[in-house]
Amino acid sequence: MPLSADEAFQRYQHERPRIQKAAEATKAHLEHHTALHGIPCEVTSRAKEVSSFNTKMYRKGYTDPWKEITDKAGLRVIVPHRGLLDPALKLIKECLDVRWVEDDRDTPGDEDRLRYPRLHIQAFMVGGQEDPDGVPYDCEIQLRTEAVDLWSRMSHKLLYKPGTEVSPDVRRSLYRLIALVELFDLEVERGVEAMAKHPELARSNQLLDTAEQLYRTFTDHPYSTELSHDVINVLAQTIDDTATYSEQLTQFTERFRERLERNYTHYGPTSALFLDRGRYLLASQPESLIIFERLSNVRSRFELHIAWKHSELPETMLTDMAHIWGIGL
Amino acid sequence: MRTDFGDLVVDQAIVHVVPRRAPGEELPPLQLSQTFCRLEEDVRFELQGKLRDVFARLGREVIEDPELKSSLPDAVRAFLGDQQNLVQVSGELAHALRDSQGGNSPAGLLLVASARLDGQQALLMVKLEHETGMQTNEIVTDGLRTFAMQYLDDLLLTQKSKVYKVALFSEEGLSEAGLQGWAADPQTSGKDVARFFLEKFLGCRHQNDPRELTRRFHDTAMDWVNSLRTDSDTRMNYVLATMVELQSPAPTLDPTEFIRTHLRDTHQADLAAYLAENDVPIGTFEKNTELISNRLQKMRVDLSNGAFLVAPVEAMQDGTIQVEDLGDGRTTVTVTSKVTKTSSGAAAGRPPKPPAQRPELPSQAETLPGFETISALPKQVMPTHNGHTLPPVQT
Repeated sequence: MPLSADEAFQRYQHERPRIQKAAEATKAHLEHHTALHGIPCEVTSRAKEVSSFNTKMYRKGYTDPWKEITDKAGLRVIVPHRGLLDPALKLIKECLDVRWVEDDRDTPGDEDRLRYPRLHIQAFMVGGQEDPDGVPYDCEIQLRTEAVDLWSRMSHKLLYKPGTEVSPDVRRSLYRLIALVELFDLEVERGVEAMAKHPELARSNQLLDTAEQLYRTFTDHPYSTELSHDVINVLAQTIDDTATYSEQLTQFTERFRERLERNYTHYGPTSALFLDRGRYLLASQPESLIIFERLSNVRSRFELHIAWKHSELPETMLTDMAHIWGIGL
Repeated sequence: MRTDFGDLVVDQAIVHVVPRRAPGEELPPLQLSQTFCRLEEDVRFELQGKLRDVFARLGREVIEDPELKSSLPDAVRAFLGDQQNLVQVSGELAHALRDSQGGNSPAGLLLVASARLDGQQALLMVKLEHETGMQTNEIVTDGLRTFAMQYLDDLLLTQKSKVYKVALFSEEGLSEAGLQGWAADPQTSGKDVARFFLEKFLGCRHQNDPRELTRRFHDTAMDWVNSLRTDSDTRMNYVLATMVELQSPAPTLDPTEFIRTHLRDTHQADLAAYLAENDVPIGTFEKNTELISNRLQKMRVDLSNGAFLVAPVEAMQDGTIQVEDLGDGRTTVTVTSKVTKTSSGAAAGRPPKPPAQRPELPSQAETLPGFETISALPKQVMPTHNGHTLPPVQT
């Protein structure tokens, strides 16, 4: 028996906190697995606002609003370029119980149309939250490139103004931008492939991507990319296999998560030592994770010390990190 | 053996002044602080970082020695067992420090902190001494911009400062065998100074015998050199460096410093890891060569053709004996000296027996052909001739 709009509204109001919790748990789950597999991405989550739920019900005129509103929980996984969409999709299918996938990227017969390249995954969320019938809540995951995300956020704002009918020429111009988005994504993908032919550069970038993704699970404070590149070039000299290192760093981060959280609180980007005294500069940088990992093992600690000694980086930067990690350098 | 103090967290601290005890005079009275220090977050975490560093580099495991009759272990137990609070226990420790230090100890501060190590309650104590420094302030005088310079004589824990004695005891160290913890005394320059802090004040002794640590360092370093795939000159240099380091008058041995001073970059991480795998500290420890003194006078080189060379370390250092790697797996050893005696010496030429239960290192099979092993020579197989004498050749 479908719920009426009123009943669905009441139920959503009641269950929204649990849905929110499940969405947050699923976000953390996806962040963990994408980091583990070295897929750089940004994951966001939200439970639909109660007012948006209400508005959508009335706007769409659903017969079974509770079931038909499938984005009560929504997640976005945004990858830097097109080449990462399929690996990310494969990973989502592996780490979540997927109900269905809507993939409009290469629909046959649509070659002459400009449309949003929908790649939506409906999946059950993790975290143990269930509805009163004992069924886990599900969510809609939107998987996009950064360019598609920019376009869809902008077009959503312009095309879905309540009470306003957008004129056909404006609609056309917005959809025409899809061609630019497609070109942009293709060029980025081509650039990434070209960069891969310069292994040293690609290695450094990959290391920084991995570190940044994990670092973002502690803080989203901005950092100096220039300093990151200087430091990561030194760190790369101490790492033999970048491909397996991603997993090694992820495991290290999980093993020492509590200690890392405490260290970033005490010495990181929001600490008084950094903000008021300018101390412990590297603790506010994503590559700090790699430094801590290298310091945690005797062999890699010595290798790091040698690489650092031959660089132009100040030694105090490294000794400060050793103080935080609590080892003798 | 803990070498990682990253889980040390300082919570609260209290500081007491401990005046100098003039020789022949009565104990000076103490004016104890009555409550905790006001520690801003930046100060607390900076202090925490410095202490993590000191314990990691210099901290040695210590254990209570009841014969030393110090009141400190009982006070620490009372604090960790919640029978005394930080103010009470720190007062007791201040008295114990004043009573235990001799007339040569300068006046200073005793900082006592409640802390956590791996989430367990801990008590931390630091003996601090004031340092001096200069400060500049930009001023305008007579309309002209300049700097006023000020001399400061009450600085503590400066960035380059390494001069303080520390000890740490956590709930983990409450055992029936006695209180266990960690202590570091970077100021140690002689045994008497060390005894004041470690024995009189803490009532503890080192858990690992310095003689045993020194022997392990020696044996592990020698094993490592002989497993090394590199030219014979380098291996010879490493053996010599080890022997010279062990014979130096320095009271402590810092394996990290040794590695960085004497080893090529390409070998440093390898020896450090090898020492760690074999339970040899890579941080500073008290050196005592009592167990290996007879192996530090001469060194022995075995060659694949059965010949071997026994020589005093000085002969290797002064160039009387030279080793040249020929680059094809063979080595030329040149001895320049006067022959004083030759004899049939088959028995003397027998290489020393390996220890009965010592497993054969896989790497021993990989030693360079023509240059099998280098070792410090045990006394019992040392030939009787002296100085720069050619050793008997095994046939």
